[in-house]
Amino acid sequence: MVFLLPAVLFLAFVFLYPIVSVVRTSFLDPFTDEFAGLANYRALFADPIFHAAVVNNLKLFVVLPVLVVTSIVIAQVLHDQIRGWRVYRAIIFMPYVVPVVVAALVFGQILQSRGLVNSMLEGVGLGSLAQNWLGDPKTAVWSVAGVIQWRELAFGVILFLARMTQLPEDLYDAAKVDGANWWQRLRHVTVPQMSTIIAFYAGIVVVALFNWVFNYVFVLTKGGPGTSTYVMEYYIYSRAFIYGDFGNAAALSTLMLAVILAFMVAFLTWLNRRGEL
Amino acid sequence: MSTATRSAARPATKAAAHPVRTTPGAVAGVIAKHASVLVVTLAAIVPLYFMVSTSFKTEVQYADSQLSLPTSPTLLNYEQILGNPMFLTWIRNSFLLTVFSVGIGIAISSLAAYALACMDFPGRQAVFMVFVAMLGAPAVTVAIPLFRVMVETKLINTLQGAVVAYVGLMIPYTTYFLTGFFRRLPPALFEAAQLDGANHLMMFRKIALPLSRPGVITLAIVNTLWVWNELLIAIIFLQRNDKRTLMAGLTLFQGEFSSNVPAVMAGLTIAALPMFVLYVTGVRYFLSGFMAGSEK
Repeated sequence: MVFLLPAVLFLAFVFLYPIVSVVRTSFLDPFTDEFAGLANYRALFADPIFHAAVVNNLKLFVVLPVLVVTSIVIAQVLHDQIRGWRVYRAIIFMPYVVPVVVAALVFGQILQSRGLVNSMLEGVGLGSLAQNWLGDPKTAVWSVAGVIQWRELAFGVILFLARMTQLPEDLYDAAKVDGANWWQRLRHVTVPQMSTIIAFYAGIVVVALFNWVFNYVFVLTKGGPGTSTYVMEYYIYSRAFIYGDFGNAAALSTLMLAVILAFMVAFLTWLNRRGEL
Repeated sequence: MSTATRSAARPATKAAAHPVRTTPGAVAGVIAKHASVLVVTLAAIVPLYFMVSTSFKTEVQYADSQLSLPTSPTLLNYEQILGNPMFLTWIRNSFLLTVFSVGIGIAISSLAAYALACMDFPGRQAVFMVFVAMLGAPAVTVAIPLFRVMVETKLINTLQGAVVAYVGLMIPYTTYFLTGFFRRLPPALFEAAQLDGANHLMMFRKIALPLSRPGVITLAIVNTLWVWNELLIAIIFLQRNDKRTLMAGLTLFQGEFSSNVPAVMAGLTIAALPMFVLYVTGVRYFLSGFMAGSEK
């Protein structure tokens, strides 16, 4: 039990006390500290910026299927050991070690109206597509999604490649004898064999897109232009630490915690049933 | 794993089973594979190439051409960045934070993981579930109350306070993964050691830790990347300029110097470099740790 004590103390200080406290704060009037019922929640739901934040979080979920499919395909091609696969692998892994802040600041330059993306588009005669990718409310959130995709792909490839080296070889030989082509082998042999790790990765990406995208938004756009890239985390941060309005921030914190807890319980029960916990 | 024997075995089987398959279709397949990987590889490398090559250009050269190699490479940007004492302070802060947070975090998490995996006590599964439940909790939701406590305890704007936050935040998933590693160790080893009179602390140090080396090193690397790269805790809990981390400093520095793109890129290259070195030196353990972790 002594072994557990330090960890439990840290958890109590960093998670349990703050969670209890933030839930409590969400029911108090931010100015008088008196019980205010659901007033903070009502104010939150009446705030159009909150709605924008939820919608933007949902838009970012476009990244999920793209990430899962690309990382499986790329992992399979690397696993096939095509010529030069070691070099490809080394380069494709690189974004994983690049700090999000660094990636976001580099892309901030690249995506400017006179940045690299636009000058490359002009170079190949597609200058009409050039635009201020992060400065235009229509493209900003998709540009943020693109940067997330760039940075997070490597982890999926690493995970799937590691798993693929452990798959039994005879299934592939059998599939080849049966005349299955590359796609069919990927779909009907590899993917079913890896279903658990794929679900695990998808679960991690869901959690990340829901509540770990603050760094990207803070560095790339600070929620702008307007509210076009606000996400829930940034909403909480800006309410609490820029405007000093802890009521709305605590209400949204409580909601996010409830949603993520429900998701974790469902996800882990599911993994548990498959004997993976 | 025997990837070498496997790659040798594969084409042979293919040739035996389908001697006529080296057709235009197969060639197109090879081209498609290379094309798909090439696109992703280029997408991965171009922004990094842009960062590094720009950092060696003058502002004039950069305005001239963004994609070309620096015609006459200059170290001026690096001199400017490293000549800024604040920048060196930020590097020092980030370095100290990372070393202490990861060291303490791994020590505490591995002890807890040992208890959860190898010791028997009532409520063990319940405690494990509490750890697991914290896995997904976003840092920003605990930030408000934590901020208030840090202000009251005078831990705000101190590296110690940030270390406490980082250690706490890394405990759930570090413990979760290490518990998985420890559970896979053969129970016979522990039984034999117990017969020889070993206590839990000895078994933890002599059996569990050494045999889980790839896992422990993998988590140390993952956590190092995380603390070095973290921004939210850094900007909330370390607001004084001389206490800032490198990532927080760079984010603000960008605002001040954004007109001098090459200088910003030099700063970013310096910020990314330690993680590349860490990855390259640790990649062996890292990959085997992931393989062991994805065994099921």
